[in-house]
Amino acid sequence: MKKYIVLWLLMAGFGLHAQNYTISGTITDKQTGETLIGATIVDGHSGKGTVTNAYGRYSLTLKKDSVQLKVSYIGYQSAKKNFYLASNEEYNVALSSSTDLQEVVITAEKVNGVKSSQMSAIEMPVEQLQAVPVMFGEADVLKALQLLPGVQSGSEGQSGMYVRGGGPDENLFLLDGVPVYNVSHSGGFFSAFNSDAVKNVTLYKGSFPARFGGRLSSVLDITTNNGNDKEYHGNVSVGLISAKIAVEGPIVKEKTTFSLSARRTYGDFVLQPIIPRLLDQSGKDVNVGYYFYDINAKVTHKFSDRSRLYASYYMGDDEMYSKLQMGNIVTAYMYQDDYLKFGYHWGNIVGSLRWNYVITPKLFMNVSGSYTRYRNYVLFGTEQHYTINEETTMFDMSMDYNSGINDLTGRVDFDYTLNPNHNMKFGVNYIYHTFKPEVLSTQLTSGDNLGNEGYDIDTTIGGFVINAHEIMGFIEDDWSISDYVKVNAGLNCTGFKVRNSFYPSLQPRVSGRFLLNDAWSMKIGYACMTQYLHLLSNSSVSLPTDLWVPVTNKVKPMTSNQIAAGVFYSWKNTVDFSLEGYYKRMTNLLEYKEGTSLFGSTESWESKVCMGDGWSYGVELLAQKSVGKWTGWVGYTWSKSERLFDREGQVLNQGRVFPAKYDRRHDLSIVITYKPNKNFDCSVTWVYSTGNTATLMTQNIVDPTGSTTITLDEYGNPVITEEPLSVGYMESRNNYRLPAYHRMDAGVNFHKQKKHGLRTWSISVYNLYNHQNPYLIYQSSSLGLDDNKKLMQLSIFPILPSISYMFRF
Amino acid sequence: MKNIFLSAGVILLLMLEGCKKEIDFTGHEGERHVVVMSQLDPDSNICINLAFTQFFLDNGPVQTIDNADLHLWINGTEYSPDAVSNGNYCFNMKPHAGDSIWFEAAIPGWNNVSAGTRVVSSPQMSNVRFSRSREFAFVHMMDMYDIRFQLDDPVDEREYYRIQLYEHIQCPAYDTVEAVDTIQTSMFAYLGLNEAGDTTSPGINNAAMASEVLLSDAYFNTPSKDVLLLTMPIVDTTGLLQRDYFVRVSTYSNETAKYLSTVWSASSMMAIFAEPVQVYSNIKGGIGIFGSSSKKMIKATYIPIDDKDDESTHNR
Repeated sequence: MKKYIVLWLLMAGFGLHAQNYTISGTITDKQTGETLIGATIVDGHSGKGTVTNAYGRYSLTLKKDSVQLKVSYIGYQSAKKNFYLASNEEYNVALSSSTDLQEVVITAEKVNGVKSSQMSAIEMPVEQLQAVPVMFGEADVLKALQLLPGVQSGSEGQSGMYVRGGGPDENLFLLDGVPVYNVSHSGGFFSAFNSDAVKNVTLYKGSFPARFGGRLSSVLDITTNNGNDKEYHGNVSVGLISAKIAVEGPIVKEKTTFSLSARRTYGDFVLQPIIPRLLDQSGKDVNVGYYFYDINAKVTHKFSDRSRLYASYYMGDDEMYSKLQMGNIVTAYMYQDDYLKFGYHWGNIVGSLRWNYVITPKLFMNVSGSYTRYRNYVLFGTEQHYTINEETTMFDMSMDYNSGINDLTGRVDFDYTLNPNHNMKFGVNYIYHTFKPEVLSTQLTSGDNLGNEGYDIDTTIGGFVINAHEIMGFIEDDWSISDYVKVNAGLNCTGFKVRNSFYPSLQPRVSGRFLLNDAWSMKIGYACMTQYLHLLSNSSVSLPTDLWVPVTNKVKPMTSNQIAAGVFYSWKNTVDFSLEGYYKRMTNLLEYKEGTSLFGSTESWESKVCMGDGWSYGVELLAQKSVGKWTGWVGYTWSKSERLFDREGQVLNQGRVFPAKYDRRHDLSIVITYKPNKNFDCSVTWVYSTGNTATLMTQNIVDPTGSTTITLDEYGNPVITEEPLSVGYMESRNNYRLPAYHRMDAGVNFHKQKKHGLRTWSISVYNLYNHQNPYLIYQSSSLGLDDNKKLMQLSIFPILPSISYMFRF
Repeated sequence: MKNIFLSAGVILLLMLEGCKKEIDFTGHEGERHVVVMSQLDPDSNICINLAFTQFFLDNGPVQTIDNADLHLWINGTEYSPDAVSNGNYCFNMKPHAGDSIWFEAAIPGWNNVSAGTRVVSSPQMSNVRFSRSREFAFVHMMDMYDIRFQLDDPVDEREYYRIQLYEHIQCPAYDTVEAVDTIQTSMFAYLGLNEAGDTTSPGINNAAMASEVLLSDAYFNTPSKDVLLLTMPIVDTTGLLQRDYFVRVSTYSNETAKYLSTVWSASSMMAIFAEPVQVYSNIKGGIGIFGSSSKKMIKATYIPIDDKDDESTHNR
């Protein structure tokens, strides 16, 4: 092993004999001072280049010679500088936003471009995300990503992601580098990420760089705005279901900035007056509502060009509540009021403190500490008030179920430009997890209006906490072996300690690019991933109550091995084509055992689950045009994803292979955006996918004596009568495929510059041709009669027009 | 303004109503199977029911099988059915506890079906006691009652039990003063098994806040098993009503217990939140259950007196 490391260091150091100097700096937006992620810096003479990191920093080491440096970024006018490189240079560039996208020069050094060694990754500028037509006028990061090949949505309208046959828990969502566990509002109809706060989004579906770890299927790296360092700006928008506000500006000009954005839905205010009528509860005491909100805040301070501090905070909550008066009963003895209570709450808090420091022009350091918390809470209860002779006795019985996870994280990582051919990243990361998988509490209290206390019983089941330590070290090198061959190789080493178990893991990652010419390249990649957390999710419905649980001595870590290969082509630096194939094998996947339920059980979660294996494979095609008046993409995926649970005592589907929950053969997305001038833009999307799978019991077993009823005979003796009971017979899991899904959305934006800012009216239509896509299927009998059984599908989103207003100042 | 909101709500409901659509299921009917259903009971003649599974959207009666060539072996001795009707193959004999019984049926055009089981003993119960619960009694309207009894069975055999609870009370109906004879399933809040096991023990289905429970004696396999049911009675606003509790105890063979457990999971009200479940079957060549069960019922009567002290009688 030693000799390989020495050999690699020698090879890495090859070229040091020549006299090299380093150009480094930060690329920013000229108008806002915002750092630009993924901007390209290329020396026109040598052809060497690099891209800025997540903090807008770059470092490019070149031989002592004349340099023709060109800096470019999508949507910005390029900057050029010619000089003779005879010493290390700090070269900060502020790019001007282009008013005419035709003028922009695009280089191919994009994250997934022809020349990059990275494959299976897509970087999406926030402008592109916001251009996609949306539901209820809410631009949504995750829904836009679902339109990319290899990324599938769950059910209709949901923002969950299923990447290359993986489950929703196999995605690592990083908000400014901090994991976020639940990324949805409204049970999945909206993502937790407010697009006003987002600066950049990069999705990795495979060939993962070694710096990422902890999930099997994808990494979504979201960076938020730092804030304008020159002047105050902001926007206010009002849509059909929510209102948003965002402000940013300098606290100390060009030194300290802030960015703050918030949104809240107001359906609870608007619907409150009509809910009693809709529920046919007029005249009764009804308090029903739902809302969500989120807040993003960030403060950035620049100590110097070499040193910056970032503090960021995110908080988002969903709250659903109801208290219904079910009825009142009057007897000769008493007056009785019954209430039914239900509450549902879930939310995240994410906070981080990060310090960037440029140690040398070649060495960049990032130190961070962060905290993330996710919790959910469900409450069911009844309240009964009995009044007898003006004495009211109250019984309050409630059952609540809560679950959560807290992480404390510390991380140090470095970017090091060893020489013109080697860009290295290395670092360590430590997470202290605190899991509270499930706590079931039952409270029973009583009392009366005379101040007498009755009983107060509080029973808690499963209120234990699991602590775990997760440590990760990584090193990766982006190595230009020749002008044609470039390799990104790395190693991710992790260890997870929980209770008395320790799980170490070595995860090699490698991807290589073979440049055929300036327009064509071939890439191949391999990634091994290990995941120590599981999300226990019901196969028929995903809820925020799904449990995040760690590996234990019984439940083993999930692992995946994925290989991918692809061909990349860039047509006139305007349209990028990629064709990728992948095969992914996963082990120790977790599912609930047959018949187990999320609710109503006193068993621990470990006894409810079983482990099995899975695999998926597919082909993805993407054609993307990012510049010009017409932009957009066409993405197509052919894929297959299957599961096998046949281990002893952990059998599902009688030990036979079955399709994964969201196994879909075909997935096609077309996104077209047209922006002829700065006052108007419009876009259209069309999606088609094979229908979801469902487990349907198509045959019934009739047990002639399966049901019993009790009556009294004429002498007052009980008589038990046995009656037939019909029970569904499951032929196999996910045996039925719902009808295909397709939908067209369209949106137009009208912008107008006003005296104090830019006004935008946005009109969008979701499901333009009103196709009834299946959301769920159920058995129905016409008019409630059993003689006309039908299988029905319910679609939840018909054609949905929406309008929103935004004012930017 | 209210009318605008109301109109918007009506439009919303109409839009949602328009979102329902019938699915054409042609070609997805699934494969039919032979279903065998039989619970051998020492107190009843042996009967085996043969039928086909039914397509879940079918409206007609279940198609029974009357042309099978069925034979039964009790402890190795072969018997033929004495009567066949509506898929029921009946024998003029009762099984005995401990009998090993096997059947095999040849059905034209289908695979042979067969299965075996061992006949269980009747449940043996003694020392039935009934009292107002001191520990859990609330204010006078929500008295709770302890029903205790002993189950007696051999220690060396694994037994499976189902306990069902019913309550009979003559109570005033809602909005009238007339007394109505009411018998209904009764909820129990807690199940105690000896001193060790309770509702949280693994392997016990439906243990709390239910009207019936299925359990094995794996966790309290002693010669004398103490069972405690803490009832949640029908509210008595007078505190003076007499009430009868009926406790039905069934013993089950291993196969029947597994079958029943999966049937409960599949047909539970909470099944929508649960993983789909395959109903257990021990039928070779088909599906269904060939098992054994035996049932007994005990009655406990509570006669209240004014000072709310314990007062109870019981009989069987």
